[in-house]
Amino acid sequence: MKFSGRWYVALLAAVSVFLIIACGGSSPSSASSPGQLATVNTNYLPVLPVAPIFIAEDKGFFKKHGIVNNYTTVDIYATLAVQSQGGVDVDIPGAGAALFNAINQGLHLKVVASRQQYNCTSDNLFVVRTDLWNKGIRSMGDLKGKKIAILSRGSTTEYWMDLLLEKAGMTEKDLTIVTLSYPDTVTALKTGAVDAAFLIEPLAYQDLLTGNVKRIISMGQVAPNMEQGQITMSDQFIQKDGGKTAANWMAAWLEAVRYYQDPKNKQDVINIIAKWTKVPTETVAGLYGTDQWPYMNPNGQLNVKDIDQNTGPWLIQHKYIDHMPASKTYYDQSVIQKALKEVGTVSANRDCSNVPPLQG
Amino acid sequence: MPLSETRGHGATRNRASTVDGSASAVAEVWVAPAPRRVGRRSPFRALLSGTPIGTLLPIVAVLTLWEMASDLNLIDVTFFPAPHTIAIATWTLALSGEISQNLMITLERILAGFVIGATPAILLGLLMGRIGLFRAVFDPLIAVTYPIPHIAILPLLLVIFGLGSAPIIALAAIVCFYPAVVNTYTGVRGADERLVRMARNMGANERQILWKIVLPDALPSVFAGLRLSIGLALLSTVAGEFVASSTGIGAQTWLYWQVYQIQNMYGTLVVVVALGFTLSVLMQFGQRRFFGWATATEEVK
Repeated sequence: MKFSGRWYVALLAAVSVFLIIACGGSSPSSASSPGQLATVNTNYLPVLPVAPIFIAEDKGFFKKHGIVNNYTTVDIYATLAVQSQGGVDVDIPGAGAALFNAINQGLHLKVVASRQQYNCTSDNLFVVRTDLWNKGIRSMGDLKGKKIAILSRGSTTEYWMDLLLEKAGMTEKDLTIVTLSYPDTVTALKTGAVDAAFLIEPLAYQDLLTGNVKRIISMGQVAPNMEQGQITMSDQFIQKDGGKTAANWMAAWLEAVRYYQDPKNKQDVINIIAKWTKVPTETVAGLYGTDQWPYMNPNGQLNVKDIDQNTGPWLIQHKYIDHMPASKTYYDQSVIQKALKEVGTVSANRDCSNVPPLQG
Repeated sequence: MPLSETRGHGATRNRASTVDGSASAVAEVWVAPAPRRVGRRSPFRALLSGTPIGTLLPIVAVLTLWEMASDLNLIDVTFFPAPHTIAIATWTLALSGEISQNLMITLERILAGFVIGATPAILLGLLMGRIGLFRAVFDPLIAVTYPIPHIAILPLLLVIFGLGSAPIIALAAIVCFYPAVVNTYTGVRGADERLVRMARNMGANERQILWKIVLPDALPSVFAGLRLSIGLALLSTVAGEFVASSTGIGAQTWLYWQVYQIQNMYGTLVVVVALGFTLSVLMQFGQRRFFGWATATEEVK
């Protein structure tokens, strides 16, 4: 039988497809043994509040605790599904409808630690166009009849908007609300398509610097002590290896948080964050130490009270979730407890009077 | 000698004869009937391919297997809820009024985008097919811009058109444009040149050639392009609503995904599927009703 050129091309294509399938995809995390590094599938976003991951990587804290991360940077809520099936070990969602609906539907994952809290600081500003600011529009109450951008319905931006409206004695009917991604929000503010919006850092700071917007209020003032972001781990990963690998990962995170918060390391922290997020060093430096410099609990302790008393009831009231799961259903403290045995517990008290507000 | 005689299998031989009836100069043309299946077709195949019920059978079969798989826990019901739960979720959403409101918004955007995109596309396709200058200018531009994933320019459209329906309609129009112009151009270029030459020889002017020969001949291809365009208008509108709108079925689907209300998300997807199916059926109906002769002509050719 004579083989034609087409036959060889077809064979080559089939072999290529086979190799891609065989070699692709994430490998399952491996358990650690003495002297061996454990591979952990970690999903993150290259944003400022996840700085401890960058620091732990660059300063060798992960390696010190026997961890090698296999990183992905995909949608943190879509990843919950993959995490439940063991395809991802560590993810960084927020305490929102997606997480609690996922828990309520029996997805196999747990919140294991706090990732970000609005303790004296936050990472989001409510801003207004400068031309409107100059006309005296300087609070939510002044924005009656105007157009406001939020990230999406069911997101924390809608929650913050409701808190501001309640304080101003207004309802959503007093505004026109649009949903836009953060980058599109910057454009919409510039073109005048929206009048005010919530902006995350560093976009908020960069827009303040352009003079296009003025700061109305920070979310740390709107929702003080809010439990803003968490670290989740799959049930499978938590239990594997008797919990050792999960605790090691957490120990590395906590060491990195403490390094991040130590003023002695300011320049190093700024450089590492700039490198990982691709945000200019000057911008990161401008945010450092202000009320827009994200805060992480150095002991990883979750503010369950805020979730159960504030976020949860709001989600139920707006029908984004049917009910709040009990905290012991969604929060597994064993990982943090094991990690704290390794790195020790430190004081998490803060004096907010020392934290200056960010200005443009 | 008869002017026509029948051959086996119904083929008819026609003879062209001279004025005085002599058959000395004969052009024999055998006109074969439409091909006929050899052997009997099974009743099941006849049902499957010939009737509306047959069209639905594969869909019902898949849904049945899906329902069985979820009942037997063979699939993860969190992400693949049983069809009956999706039906309940869809019905609940429909009763709440959320779906109808958002559906109307999406439908308006699709139709507006389709009309705004397809109308100039057909015109340009005609011009490109008949006039060399238009072909020389626009063919390279279309070839270069066609492969761009048009959803990627949505942020640009937001800058130009602002918020609301306008950027999404613009996106749908851009996406619709390409299949319509390419298919129209192809249809016009593919018009039977022998008929065109014959018409010219008989004294027809360019306008008559366009309306009587080129356009009718191009219609099947134009319609194929329009059917593709309406489907793409739906896809691009829904995708645009994911990203840049708080209204419409796409926005509603995205919201349910973001808050992990999976059954409701499937409910809105059912609506999208139904919308796509309805638009396709309406296009087919319109084609058959008003231009059925064009399809028949194409089949004969």
